[in-house]
Amino acid sequence: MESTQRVSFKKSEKRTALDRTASFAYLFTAIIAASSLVLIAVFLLVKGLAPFFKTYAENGTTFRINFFSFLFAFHWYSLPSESGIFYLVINTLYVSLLATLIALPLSLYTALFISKIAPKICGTILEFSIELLAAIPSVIYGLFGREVICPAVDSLAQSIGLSSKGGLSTLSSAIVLALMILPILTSLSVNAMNNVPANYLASSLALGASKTETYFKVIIPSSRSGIFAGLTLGLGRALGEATAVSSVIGNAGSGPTFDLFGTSATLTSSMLLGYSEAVGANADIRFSIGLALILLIIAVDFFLGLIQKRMERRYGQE
Amino acid sequence: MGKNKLALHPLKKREIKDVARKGITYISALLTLLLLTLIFVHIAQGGGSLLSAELLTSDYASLTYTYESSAVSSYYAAPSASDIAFSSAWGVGLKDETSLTGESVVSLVYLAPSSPMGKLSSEVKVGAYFTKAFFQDEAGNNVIALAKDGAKGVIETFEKGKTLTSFSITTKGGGIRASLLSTLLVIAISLLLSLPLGIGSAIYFSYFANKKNPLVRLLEKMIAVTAGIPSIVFGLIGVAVFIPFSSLFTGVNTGSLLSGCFTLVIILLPSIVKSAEEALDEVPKDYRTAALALGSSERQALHKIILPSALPGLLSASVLAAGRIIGESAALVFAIGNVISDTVSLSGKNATLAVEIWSLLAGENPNYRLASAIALIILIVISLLSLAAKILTTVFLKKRGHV
Amino acid sequence: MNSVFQVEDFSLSYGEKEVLHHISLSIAEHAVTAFIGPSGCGKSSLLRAFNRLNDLIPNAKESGKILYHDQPIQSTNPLELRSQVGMLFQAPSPFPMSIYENVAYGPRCAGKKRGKELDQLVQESLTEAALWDEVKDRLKKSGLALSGGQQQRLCLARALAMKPKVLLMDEPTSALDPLATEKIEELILALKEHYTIVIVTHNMEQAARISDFTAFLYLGELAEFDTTEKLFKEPSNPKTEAYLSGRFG
Repeated sequence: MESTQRVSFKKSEKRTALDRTASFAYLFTAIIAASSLVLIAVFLLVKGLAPFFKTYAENGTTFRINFFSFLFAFHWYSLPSESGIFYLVINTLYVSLLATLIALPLSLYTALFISKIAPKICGTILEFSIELLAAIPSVIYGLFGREVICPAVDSLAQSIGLSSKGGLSTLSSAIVLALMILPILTSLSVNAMNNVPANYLASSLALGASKTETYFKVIIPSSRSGIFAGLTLGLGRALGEATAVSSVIGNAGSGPTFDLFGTSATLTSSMLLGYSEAVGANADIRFSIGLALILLIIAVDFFLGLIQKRMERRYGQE
Repeated sequence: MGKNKLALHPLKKREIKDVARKGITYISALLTLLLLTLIFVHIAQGGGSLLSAELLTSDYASLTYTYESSAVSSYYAAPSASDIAFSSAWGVGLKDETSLTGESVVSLVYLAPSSPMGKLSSEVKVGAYFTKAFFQDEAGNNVIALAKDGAKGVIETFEKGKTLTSFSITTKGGGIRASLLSTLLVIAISLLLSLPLGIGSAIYFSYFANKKNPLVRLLEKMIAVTAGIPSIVFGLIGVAVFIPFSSLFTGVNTGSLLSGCFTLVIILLPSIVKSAEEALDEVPKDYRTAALALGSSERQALHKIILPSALPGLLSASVLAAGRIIGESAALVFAIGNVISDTVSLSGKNATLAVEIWSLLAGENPNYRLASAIALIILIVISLLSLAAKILTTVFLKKRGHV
Repeated sequence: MNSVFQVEDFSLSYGEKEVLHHISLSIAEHAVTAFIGPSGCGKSSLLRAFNRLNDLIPNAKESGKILYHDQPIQSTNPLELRSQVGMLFQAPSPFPMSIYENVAYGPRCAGKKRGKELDQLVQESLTEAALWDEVKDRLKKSGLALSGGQQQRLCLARALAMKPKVLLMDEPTSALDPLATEKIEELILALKEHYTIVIVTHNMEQAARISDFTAFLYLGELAEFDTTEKLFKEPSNPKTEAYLSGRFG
């Protein structure tokens, strides 16, 4: 895109006070908008670290929250002084990665269908359906998960001889999260596939491959970077998802839980659990969990960025 | 598999593989569509039966009202429905039902137009639950009808009563008037605050800023990073910053609709800025050059030509923002609260629709029917909003000659 | 000389527009045949007919026959046809994979999966395309990291890996610099010993340099077809003469 053209007359002639006010006002809004990030960073840091430096007096006892047990304990009791997030971090990563694993193939194949195989009308209908799926609020996914996915998972467990707590489980959470990631992943993959150079198809056919072989062996690999961008966004969303996960995960008090049919808890579900009645240390500690969540997301994004750079070096940009 | 044993011509094997591959893509696409349908159908099934004007306008709390009276019995014709217990002395029809929360209740299903019960209050209406009634019979003795007698038992007592002493009913409750109102209020105020900020920023980035300036790029990056923050973290900031801040306006130190609005503003900003910027970038650069060549200033060109031209796109961005507000739950649990009260005010902790759903699910006895009904409302509104946004963008692009 | 392709009264139209009218010619084995003519006159369309790439275009209609070794190509399985008839395009388009994977692509699709066999095939093809020495130490690196000329030779190696009998080239050097062009032309002359080559070019000097036979296409019709020497020295069709002397391009 060309840079904005600026026809500059003698500025002093044309720019009245109103003009200057206007352009300053717009700059001002941009600064305010950007400064919300600073606000978030500062307050999260301060409020997140504060509980470790305060002495709490509750229920007749005074205590301090131990920083190290917060980081490394494997349980979450109602006494914040004995609760730890380590298992929450593991669960959060586990459930989110599981969700991405479930969503990825479905997204890729649907995206391929929309981009290359479907007739135009089908493609448009599908794309709008995906937009609708993306617009559905997380609570509703939580409701759907609770009413449909949990019973299904419960039946599955029972049919193979295991038990589950009414379907509230890691597997249910992973499935619900997968459903939520699906739209982003699919639409970004569709974009990436649409942008693959047209002559790849011709080159591949000229080498004796069929259309379908080309789609799977050339188009999908060539869409790598767009698909990866979708994965990054999707994983980020899964890590931070709160209401949907908390409705289906069962809120286990200890862990980590690798058992697919066992109840679990994530950073976000713990933040929500019982918040309305929480006071004092119990309420304050939520900030610390939130801080941990942001740090986790930053770490994951950094790691994914490294992988992407390595991919680019090996395969080259399209 | 048997196929491996046959020495198939390699080409045939490739064709079979191709069919399988293509099949997988068809199945995937179908599953996606199925998923969407399943969600809508399930929610509609679960809550559709509850949808009514009454749901939208009545209170959540179930209140009991008692009325004094000295009315006398008379004669009233029975209605045509045959499965209700009817009192011909008082013109009241009752039926045993189960309330939304699973309790057995005696529901008032018919009220004769001139029945003295109906004249007691507007709350005595079809749908209310009968609680108790005191009568005096012909001999002057007190007779009491209680809901636990069941509809038939109550009516038997009714027929014995000659004079009515007092009459109690309990409202149905479970209405979402308060949540609905709170949601609308929150949408209005949040949009009012965030749209000028967001569109203003977009105007700056798209129209005035020099993109090569590293400071400009920094501002853009900061807004982009904010987009990736989970909404629950925004909720925390709402608690840390906006609850104290809005207490200046509301006088309360707890979460309020106002603090929720402020929180929503920072949640919405990145997406409003992004979509508004896209809308503005769609306007041809030539418009600006032409306007300037005619002697207008940058600001005049912006306000008179560029903005009106970008209007459909900007409206689309606003519509999408509204949709986002309706669905926001995690942040508002923190920034407002989830009290389901029936009075709505800016300083109140009313749950919005989405928060109410979460609240219903988080309890020990989830009221799935009500949750689904609310979810259905949200789904319908969001579908309409998405459609509206889509139409606006298509109209917009058609004007550009793109479509 | 044997003829590899026999074109009999072949016409092609895209929807209403007829781009090739009643073309008849034959392509000789182990020789280079060039299609020349002003742009838009159907050269590429005719070339693409030989490996049935026109099948990609939804409203393309063909009439007449094209025979490959006496078999009509319309009734041949296109995958089989294309494993014997390779193609090089104007804009080099290596896939975003490693050099090795690019060359191995065709054979892998055709079912060759064994490691050592594939390695050898890749090496042979890259050697034939005069690229082996330049890339033998970086086979795992991306194909897109090569220069334009190298990319085109990579695409050539890719096509050669299928061990085709015919190579179709659609303006293979028009996107390359003179040095890279020279290299490709040298390759073509070397390759014609084992392959049959058909090349479309808008550069008539190139046709004169490297081809044995030349077909001059004008407005979708075969205006003249003869040995290169004869066509360039004594064209029988006045239009040919006019084109060659630069009176129209």
